[in-house]
Amino acid sequence: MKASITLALALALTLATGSAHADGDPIATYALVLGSNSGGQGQVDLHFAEDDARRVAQVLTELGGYAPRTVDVLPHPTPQLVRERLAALSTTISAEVAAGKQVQLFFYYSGHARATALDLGNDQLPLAELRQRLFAIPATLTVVVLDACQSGAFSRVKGATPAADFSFSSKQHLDASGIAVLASSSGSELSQESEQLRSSYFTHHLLVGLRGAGDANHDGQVSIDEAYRYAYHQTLIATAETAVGGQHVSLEVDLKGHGEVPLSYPRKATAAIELPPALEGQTLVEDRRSHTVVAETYKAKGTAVRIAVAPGDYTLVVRQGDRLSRCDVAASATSVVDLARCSTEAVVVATRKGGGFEHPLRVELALAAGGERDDDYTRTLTNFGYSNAQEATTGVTLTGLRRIHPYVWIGATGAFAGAAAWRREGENHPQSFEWATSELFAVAHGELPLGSEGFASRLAGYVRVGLGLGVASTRFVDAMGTATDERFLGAAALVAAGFHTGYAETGGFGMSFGYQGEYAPIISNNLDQTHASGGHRLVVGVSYGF
Amino acid sequence: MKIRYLLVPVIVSQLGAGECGGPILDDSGFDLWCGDTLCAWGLERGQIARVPTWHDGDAGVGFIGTDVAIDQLSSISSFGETCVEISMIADIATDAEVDVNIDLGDDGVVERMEHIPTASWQPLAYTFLISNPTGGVRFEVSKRGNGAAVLAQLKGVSNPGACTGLTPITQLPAAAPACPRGTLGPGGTCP
Repeated sequence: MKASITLALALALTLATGSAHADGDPIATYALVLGSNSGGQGQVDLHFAEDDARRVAQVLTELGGYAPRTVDVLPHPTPQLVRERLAALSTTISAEVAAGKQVQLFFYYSGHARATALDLGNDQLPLAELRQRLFAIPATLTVVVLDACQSGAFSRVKGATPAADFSFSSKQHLDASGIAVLASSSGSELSQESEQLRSSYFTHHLLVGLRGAGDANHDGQVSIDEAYRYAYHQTLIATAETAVGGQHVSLEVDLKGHGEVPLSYPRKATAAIELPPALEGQTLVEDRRSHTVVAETYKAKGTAVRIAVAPGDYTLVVRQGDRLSRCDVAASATSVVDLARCSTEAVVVATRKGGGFEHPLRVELALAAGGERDDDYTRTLTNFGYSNAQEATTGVTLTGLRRIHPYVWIGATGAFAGAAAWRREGENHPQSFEWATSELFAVAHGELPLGSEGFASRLAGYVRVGLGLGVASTRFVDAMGTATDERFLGAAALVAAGFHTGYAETGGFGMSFGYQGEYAPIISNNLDQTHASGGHRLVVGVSYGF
Repeated sequence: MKIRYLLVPVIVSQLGAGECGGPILDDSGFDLWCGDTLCAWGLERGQIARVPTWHDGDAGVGFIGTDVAIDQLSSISSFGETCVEISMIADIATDAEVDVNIDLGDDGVVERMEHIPTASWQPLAYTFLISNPTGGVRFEVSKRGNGAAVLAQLKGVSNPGACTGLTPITQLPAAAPACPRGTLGPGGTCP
């Protein structure tokens, strides 16, 4: 089971010379790209942080103008290694600057973090130290991307105020002084990975934006501002319905000078897939060789969108309403998608933009045991000489749930319980009476994790209520051994509370245990007495989320 | 031939019954029917029917008409005193008179009569201390009046510890019966 990962991104820009670089300027580019799947104490390992780092490096070399030899990718680094590489960069860049060149530095980190430090396995690199080292490097332009939980805290290190919303415009701030920070989550939010995207939500959408989907003004390059706006929208949409909750990308910029700061140049890519103006719908571009999602975006009608990709074979999947179009595209130059040549089929399984709930469905099988409710009905049995030696009712419940809110599920529960037989010894065949109740409930289920980290994040308290119908069948065997069967139908109710392990976001197998009360006043006798089948029971169950 | 004479095999099988805690009546739940009549109980007079109680499958005996009685000769037989606890489940209407009569020695003389109050399936219990019940004890349940009466159970057990302080019932001479059968008044006195 994979826990949602903390991802945070912060982007800081410093422009020491007072002007944004333009085409033709002698600019040297360097990148240090870090990815660490390892979790520290109380943290689960991430799945895609190191892969995200490699993808970032790939986009930088394909579309960002970075020479491959200047992009240093470090999987699962130690704090000491990071310090050494930053020191080396500082030396190299100082020499470049001394030679009269403008230098652009890109720093990226994906992994665990807390509000005060990056978590590199069991070691930590304080955010304050990282900021101090980064800003000590005399680059003309420094871009820092931190994709980790609470990455918004990076700006707080220096006392900056996070951007209020996505309407922030870097152009309005170019004349201001201070720090600019772009973060995948706020200082208090968790960042998340997506099993479906096989990436963090933020890095995935940032890279899709850099590949061209974020080029809002269609000038062939994606600026920091454009990338931020695109990543903000797509990340928030994709995470809004997850159990962890919405993830707000923030941008803080402290730039001197005027003009936009381009991060990528998709128009200069050697290969691209162009989505024609007529195309509208949720669009997904999959690399057929690696089976990875290169881009996923909602394409609006009326404007062509060009997504830069590496040369190769891709599958384009476009969902328009209840129709799904599938196109194979060989990207060698700019390949315009012709929907008329794509196969079309009906949507069979609903897809969710950005992944939506990672594990929105759960089935649960539970065993229940407990006492049967005492009432006038059972007292009559006692008066007539019947006794119930075991006094325990056992049963099984099967529940299917679908999540409709981070903490709310709906579904159905089927329950079956059989009461132990009541017997009366007689001169001949002993008389016996027993019943079993089957119930079908529509249920509402609320579940809240007990914490955000470690085991507590995987242990959730839950409450469940249900209303439905019950069918009870009784069997009376008289002194001659003759059986009389009866059936009863009526309303039933269910309440339950307990704990579920295996945090919903991660899906897979889980366990639950708790209390369950069932109430089904169904069985009646000739004395107009009704027995409420059910009672107070302990339940233990196993579940599977998918 | 009176129906109770059919109970001889049962009586024989019950010799030795009446010991501590043991049952002294057969078919206490009126479950065994031989056609339209009970197998283990004699029909003294009137008409009875198999009727449902709390469940259609758990039958009781319904007293049909205004003068009905059933009886069973118990094998209680000892040279001392025997404490008998009678418990029953019955549904008795307000205009029905139901009595439990005890005839020591089965000589037709009723030594004790207990009136059963109106009931609606709640348990009722009575305790009798019987002195020197040689010759067996006949238990009779009679019903008079227009109201309906259904007996679901009539269980008798010997319970030595339940009769503390009770006056023993002694057998009256058969030659000079204190009261003809069925005429004993409330409290065990003749009218």
